Amino acid sequence: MISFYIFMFALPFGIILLAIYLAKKDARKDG
Amino acid sequence: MDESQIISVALDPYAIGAFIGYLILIIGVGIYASRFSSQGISEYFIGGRKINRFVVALSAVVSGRSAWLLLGVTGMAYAQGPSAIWAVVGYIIVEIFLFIYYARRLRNFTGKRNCITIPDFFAERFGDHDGRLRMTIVTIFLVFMIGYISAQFVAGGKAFASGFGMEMNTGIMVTALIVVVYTIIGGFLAVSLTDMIQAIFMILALVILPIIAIADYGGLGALLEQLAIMDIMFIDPFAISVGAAIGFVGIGLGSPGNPHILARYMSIDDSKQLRFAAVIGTTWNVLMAWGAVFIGLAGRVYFPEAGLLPGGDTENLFPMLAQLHLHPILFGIVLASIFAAIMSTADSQLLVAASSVVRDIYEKIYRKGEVVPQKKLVLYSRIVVFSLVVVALLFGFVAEELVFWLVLFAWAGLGASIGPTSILALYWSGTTRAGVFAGLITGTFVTIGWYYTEGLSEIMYELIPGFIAAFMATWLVSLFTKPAPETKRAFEDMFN
Repeated sequence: MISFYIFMFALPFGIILLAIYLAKKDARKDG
Repeated sequence: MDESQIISVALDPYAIGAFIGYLILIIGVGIYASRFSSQGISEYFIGGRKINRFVVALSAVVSGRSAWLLLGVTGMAYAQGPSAIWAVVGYIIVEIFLFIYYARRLRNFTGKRNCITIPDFFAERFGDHDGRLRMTIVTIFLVFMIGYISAQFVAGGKAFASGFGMEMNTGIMVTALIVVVYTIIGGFLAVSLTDMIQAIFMILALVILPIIAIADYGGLGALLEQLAIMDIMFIDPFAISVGAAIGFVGIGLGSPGNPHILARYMSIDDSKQLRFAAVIGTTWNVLMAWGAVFIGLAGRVYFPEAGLLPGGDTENLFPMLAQLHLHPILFGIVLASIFAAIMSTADSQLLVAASSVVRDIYEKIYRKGEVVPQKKLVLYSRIVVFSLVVVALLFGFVAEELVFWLVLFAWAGLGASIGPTSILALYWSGTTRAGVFAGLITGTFVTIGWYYTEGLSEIMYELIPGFIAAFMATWLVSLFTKPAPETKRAFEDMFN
């Protein structure tokens, strides 16, 4: 059941956070 | 297939009204975009590189998601539970990297060198003076794209048949007619704006339906309890073999090779805005994908056996569940979302195929070195769009088996041939024209060969070995061939 909650709720948030992190990193590179 | 239940609700005036409202909206967008798109082929095929970041984000994600997401992934989650997540997680993560890294270089280069198509990009990057590289890529595109477009029309025909009780062939013609009208009139701008509207329809359907269906059942706790009683597989995301999981994740390798997705990246007004598009696009991708999986899980408790679905087909779950739980207006939106998914893919593929004919074959090969008036090129583009629809319809009616064969390999074939070669072209200055030829041929043939070799296709999805083989072939042949001096200089144009 824990793996269900991780896959169905934590993972989607994690993926969106990854996109935000990479976007911010890219923005920092541009100054 | 027993369609009576769907028809009874679809014929509700509210549902029909919502659906007709959607159609009027997208045709209206086509008319709105027509003036801008008539200015030249850069405007007609890539929106003059002036498309807003929000529109690019949504257009890029929905162009890559056909009815497979709404009907296929929901059906997959119904059949095998949350392990269906593996089928969506790969492409979502790959597309984050495409938006932020790959797309930026592609947009910079194509903007500086005035490239309108992907074959244009390869020709400029590798100094393709004799046009052979351009023609090879155009041939690969046209073969797969015609099959792709044809398959979308057939899917639209099926949706009309099950949703409105229409005769299948009439449904195919109506789908083609709607797509051709706004694509011919409005070109890329119309296609992108309608993609955005279609993305909103899709997300509404995919988010609202599971929430209502789960709430009607008594909440998530009650749903999970029932699923666990039915089969523990329905709450276990790891109820899948390692090979199948890798194959599912590998679906994402197709994204960098499918030109109808790449054209979106080339159209953005400012390459720095691609990072914003990455966040919006990813959020949309995630909500749509997880919504589809939750629909499959909810569907399992309402229809415990697949035999309870029309025709016993799990792909009918999405409209059936919507019929059961939604007000007819919302059901109309759900029906519209199925057409949205189909049309948003078909229109993008249609424009990419037409751009290959007009820009690559006519302007750059047949009329090489001549100045062709832009108005004339736009007129030809519109004629080619219409002609391609006729060809795709003929394929759909006459050679349905060939269409299914082409579609089977379209995502993987394009992904394995264009994907690795374009990545190396963008990221390695040592990539040579001969290397790209090797990669294109290896990717296409390994993909098809793997599928047809007994025992191999069960081990892994053919895109993964095809992609790796093409990458290796491009790299190795490039190592042993000398890049022309101009290709080294061209590489510098990737950067701001």
